[in-house]
Amino acid sequence: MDDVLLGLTAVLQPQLLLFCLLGVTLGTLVGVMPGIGSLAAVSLLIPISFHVPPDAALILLAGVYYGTLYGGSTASILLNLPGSPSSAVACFDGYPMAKQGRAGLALSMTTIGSFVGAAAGIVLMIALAPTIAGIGLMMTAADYFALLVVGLVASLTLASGSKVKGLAMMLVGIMLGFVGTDSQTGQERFTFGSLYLADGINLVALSIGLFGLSEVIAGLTRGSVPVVPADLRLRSLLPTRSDLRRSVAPMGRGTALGAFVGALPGAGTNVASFMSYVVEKRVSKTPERFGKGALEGVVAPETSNNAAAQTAFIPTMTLGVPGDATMALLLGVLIMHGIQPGPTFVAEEPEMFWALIMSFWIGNLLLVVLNLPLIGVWVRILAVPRRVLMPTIVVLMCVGVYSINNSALDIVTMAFFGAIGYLLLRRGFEVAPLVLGFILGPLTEEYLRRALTLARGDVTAMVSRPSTAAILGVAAVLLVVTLARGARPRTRLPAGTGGAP
Amino acid sequence: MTPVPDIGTTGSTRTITAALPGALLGLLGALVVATALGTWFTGGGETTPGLVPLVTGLLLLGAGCAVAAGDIRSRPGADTAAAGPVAGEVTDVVVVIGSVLVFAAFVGGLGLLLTVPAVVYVLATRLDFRTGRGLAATMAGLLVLVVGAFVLGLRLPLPILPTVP
Repeated sequence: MDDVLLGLTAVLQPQLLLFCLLGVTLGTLVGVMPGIGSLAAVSLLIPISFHVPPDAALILLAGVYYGTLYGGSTASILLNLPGSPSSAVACFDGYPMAKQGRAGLALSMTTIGSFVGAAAGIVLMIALAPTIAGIGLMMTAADYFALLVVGLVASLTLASGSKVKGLAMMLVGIMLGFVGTDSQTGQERFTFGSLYLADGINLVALSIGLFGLSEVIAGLTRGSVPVVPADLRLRSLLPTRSDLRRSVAPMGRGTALGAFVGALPGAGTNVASFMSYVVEKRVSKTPERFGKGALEGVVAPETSNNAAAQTAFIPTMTLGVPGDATMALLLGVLIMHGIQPGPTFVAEEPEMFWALIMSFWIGNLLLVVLNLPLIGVWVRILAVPRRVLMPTIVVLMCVGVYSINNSALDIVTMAFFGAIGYLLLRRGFEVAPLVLGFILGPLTEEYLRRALTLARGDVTAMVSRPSTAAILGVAAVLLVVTLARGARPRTRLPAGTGGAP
Repeated sequence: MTPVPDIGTTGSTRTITAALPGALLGLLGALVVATALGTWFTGGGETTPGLVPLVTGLLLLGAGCAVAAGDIRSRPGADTAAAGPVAGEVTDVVVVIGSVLVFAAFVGGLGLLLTVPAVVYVLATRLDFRTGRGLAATMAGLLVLVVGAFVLGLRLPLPILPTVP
C-alpha cells in the first residue's frame, strides 16, 4: 500500500501528469493512422524522450504504447485497415458493424473493453510485480541467459508468416547488435574501421527506419482509403443493456487470456488478440455470425490486447525480459537513459516503478475520455489528406533522429533501414523479430559470457543448475513447436481484413 | 488451347529470384562465421568476442538455406514474396528515401529553413498537390511546427538558418 501511495504521489506531479496526457494523446493520434502500430509510434517518439527526465520519458513512451492500442481499433472499424497489428482482428467484425451503421457501438465497446482489460492487467501487475522481482534477485547470470533465450524464441510467435523467416530476422537482429565495441574486451566488431559504427548502430535510427519509414513508403504505394461514414453522436455511442450483457463474458475471457499471454516473455499483444478471437468463435453458439459483425468478435480481442499490453510490463520491468517487441524497444531506450530494468530496478527505483504503474490508471482513464466523447476528433484525423500527412511524418522522423546527436549519419542510417525494412516487408519478412534480436542479442551475449566466466569456461555449468536447464528446455520445446506449427497450413480467418499483422 | 507449361528459362529465373533472399541471408551468415573465426578466434578461450557471432552466423547460414528451400517450394504468387512490384512502387521508394537523404545532406549547412521545404518538395513529386499554394502552405506549416516543437518547445540546438561559410 505504501508503494502504491508513493507512486501516486509521484505521478500526480504536474510534469508527469502532463507527459502521461501527452503520451496517451500522441499514442491515440498515431494509433488511429492506418498501419502505424505501437512499435512505429514508440520509435517515432523516442527522440523526444531524450530531452526529458527518465521517469517522464518512461511514462510518456508507455502512454504512447497503450494509447496506440486504443486508437488502433478506430482505423480497423472505419477503414478496414488496422491502425496497429494487434487491432487487425477488430477489422473482422468491426468493419462489417460499421457498414451496418453500428460503428458508434463498435467504437464505444472497444473502448470499454480496452479499459476493463487494462484495469485487470494493472491490478495483476501491482499484485505480482514485487514477487517476480524477488524471484529475479535469486536468479544467476545463467538463468537470465536462459530466460532471454526463451524471450528470443518466443518472439518468433510475432512473425505472422513463415516462422523460419522470423528466425532468420531475429538472427540478423542479433548480428546487427554485435556491431560496435565489445563491452568486455574493448575490441571492435564488424565496424569496418568506421568511427561512427564503433558505438554500435543507433537503435532509434534503426527502429524508425524499419517501422516508420518503411510504413510511409507502404502508405504512399497503398494510396487513400475512404472512411465509412459513421454516426458518432453520444447517443449512438452508448451501448444498450443487451449489448453490455452480451459483452460481459467475452470481456472476462479476453481479460484472462490477454493478461496471461502478455505476461509471457516474447508473446505480446498480437498473439493475445488473435487467440482471443479464435476462443470467442469456438465458444460461441452462433459462430457463423463471426466475420459478419459479431459484437463479441470486436470486444474480446480488444479487451485481450489491452490486458496483454499492461501485463507485458511485468517481465520487462521486473526481470528485464521484454514481453514483446515494443517492450524490447522500451527496454533499449531505458538502457540508453542509464536505467537497467530488472529485479534491482524495483528495489532501487521504487518511486519511478510505482509512478509508472499508477500512471497506467491515469492514462487509461484519460484514454476513455479521449476515445469516447472525443472520438469524432480522431475520426477527422483519418480524413487528413496524404499530401499533408506523409511530409509531416517524414520531416518529424528526420528532425527527431537528427536531434539526438545532431548527426547526419544517423539520418543516413535511418534511410538505409527504411529501404531494407520495406524490402523485407515486400518479400514476406517480419521486422519485429529483428528489432527484438537487436536489443536482446547483446544482453543475451553478456549474460552468457558472464555465466561462462563464472563457471571458468565450463559449458556444462549452463545446464547443471536445474532452473537453468528447465528454462533452456522450455526454449528448446518452444522453438520446435513454433517451427513445426509454422510448417503446417494455417487456419483461415475472415477475409478482407485489410492486411494481416 | 493447351496452356504452355511454365518451364525453361522462366522457371529457372523464378527459382533464382525465389531463392535470392534466403541465399543472401545464408551468405551473410557465412561471412559472419568467417569473420568470427578469422578475427577473434586467435586466442582468448571460450569467452572470446567471437563465440556468439560464430554460433549466430552458423544458425543464420542454416536459416538462410531453409528460407531459400521454402521459397523455392512455395507456390508462385502465394505470398508477397512472389508478388511483383506495384505500379510506381520503385519511384515511391526512391522519392521517400531520397527526401530523407536530402535532409541528411542539407540540414547542417542550409538549416531547417531551407531543408524542410526541400524535403517536402521532393515528396511532393509523388503527392497530389493541386495548387502551388497548397504546397507552399504545407512547407510553411511544417517549418512552423518543427521550429515551434523542437527548437522553441524542447529547446534543442538545431540549425534554423543557413550557415554562412
